[in-house]
Amino acid sequence: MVTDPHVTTPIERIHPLQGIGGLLGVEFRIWFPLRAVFLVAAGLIVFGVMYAPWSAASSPSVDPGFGFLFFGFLSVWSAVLLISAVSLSEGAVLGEINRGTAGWLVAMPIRRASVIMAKFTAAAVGYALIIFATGGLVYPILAGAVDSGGTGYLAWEVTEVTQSPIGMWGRFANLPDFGPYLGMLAAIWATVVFVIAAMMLLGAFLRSRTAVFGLGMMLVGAIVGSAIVGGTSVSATPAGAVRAVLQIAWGNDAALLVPIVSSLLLSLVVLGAAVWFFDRRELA
Amino acid sequence: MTAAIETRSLRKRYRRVEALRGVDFEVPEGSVCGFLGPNGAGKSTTMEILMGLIAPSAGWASILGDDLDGDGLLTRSRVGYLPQDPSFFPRAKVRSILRFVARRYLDGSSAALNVRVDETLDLVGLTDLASRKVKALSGGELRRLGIGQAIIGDPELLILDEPSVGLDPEGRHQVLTLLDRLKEHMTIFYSSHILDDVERIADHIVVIDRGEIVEQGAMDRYLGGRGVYQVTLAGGNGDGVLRSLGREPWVDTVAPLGGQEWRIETPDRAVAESRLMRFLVESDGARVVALRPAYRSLEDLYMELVGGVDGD
Repeated sequence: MVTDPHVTTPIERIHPLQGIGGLLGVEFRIWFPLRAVFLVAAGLIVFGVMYAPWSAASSPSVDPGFGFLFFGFLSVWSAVLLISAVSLSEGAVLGEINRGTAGWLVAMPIRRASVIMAKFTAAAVGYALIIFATGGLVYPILAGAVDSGGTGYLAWEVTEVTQSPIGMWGRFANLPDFGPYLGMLAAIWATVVFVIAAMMLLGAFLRSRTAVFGLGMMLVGAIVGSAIVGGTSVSATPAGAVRAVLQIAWGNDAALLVPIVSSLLLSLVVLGAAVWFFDRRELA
Repeated sequence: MTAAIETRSLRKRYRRVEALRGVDFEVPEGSVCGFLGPNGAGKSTTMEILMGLIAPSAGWASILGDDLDGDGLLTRSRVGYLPQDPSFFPRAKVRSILRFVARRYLDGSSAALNVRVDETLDLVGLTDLASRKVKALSGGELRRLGIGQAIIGDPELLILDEPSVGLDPEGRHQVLTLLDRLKEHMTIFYSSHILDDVERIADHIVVIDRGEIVEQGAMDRYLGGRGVYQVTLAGGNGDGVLRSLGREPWVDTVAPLGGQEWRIETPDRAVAESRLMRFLVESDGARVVALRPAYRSLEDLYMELVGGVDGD
């Protein structure tokens, strides 16, 4: 331990995730603020694009159906998040291997597992903030849309949200309470986390970024496809998490806990495999 | 003398290509060891195995007395490494890169680490570029940053893969001067194609060709410290000049080669190089037409060993 503030000494102990602190700092700078702000903005744009025509179509006498807006937004937004997870993670491991940065890092006293864990953790935290921030911003507008039947939303929302931001949430048939709504966001996040873990594994295993991207997109397609046609057989998978979100958005009951927990556990297994492969990967 | 690096029967196979075919060598602790060989001979592969970037197909190696079998993190904390094509975070600034690396190797307060970063920037001549982003650096500047990050942790062993590549003559001179200073404090193992540089600062060489060590040992063993020269004089009193040269205490023999040429042997090359030309120029009665070394240079040795065939 160094006591003299003017002296540096060689490190004496190696931790199980040696070097992860510095690497997390580097990875968080990639995610915040630019990438996070961009993805929150993308989510809000998706919502705006769906909300504007819905708002224009509805009037006190014509209700185009709140389910259309809520279900449609969550479907499209989830797909955008999953595709963005593939796009932003495809070069996270393999790109650094090909550039030589990974070799430079592990030639230092940095554990290889730390490289994978830092990238995964930063992406998982980044998406958590992106999903909950976007979802939180959208919720009051959704709530206003349900209450007013499609007209005068903005004026209503400003008044309602500022005067009673919590009290209004339980009053609308098709919009879940804020607690279950957060559960829906958590299910979307768990699915994205699984995709990120899978991208780490593909990057640690494959040698072509095109192959990593292609297989990542196929994985997203398989998750979305299984969520639509898989029924209850996929409930304990990431596809089950997406399915539960869409079921609730459509007004049906669905359990969120099992798919969230199982998706996260599955992510850890896939991440473990990614670390195992990266540990054995030649970084010349 | 203990070995800073030791390898035994080290092999590396890439599908049909055998990059290393049973490499055995030692780098003595405290030495400056030049690692020589043509392109594709296996220099970078050997260094990458030593740094744990790739695994050997067979064989054994140790660094600073520790086998490479374990994770080697504590050992690596005592080793600085410059890869052949260094790649850093492209958007980071020069100072941030050095600070990041310093944090990996050293414990200390933020102020102490900043001092260390400043010292390193000064050593590698990058103080003026400390705030520049890595992606805006030239090839030579990038290599100097590579050397800086290799030495910032004050390593016991420095492994440098072609430290002078891409540097202009001034940059090359800076690197040589830097290595000359560092050799007092650490073992240096470095590969290079610039044989004059190796001859100037290395005291030990390892020569590899087609994945096999073809020669290794102390530089003196091959080149010795003697100075042997061939001189051609013009003018009427060449014999007289050479006779008086033969009486100098720092000269062993002066022998005529026929015509106006003589062979001069001295016991100490460094002394001869500082005195011989001045003696000849200041002597009356003969004019120096040519003076060239006749001893075996590192380049001669290298060409004998690898036959001048480039592996690429």
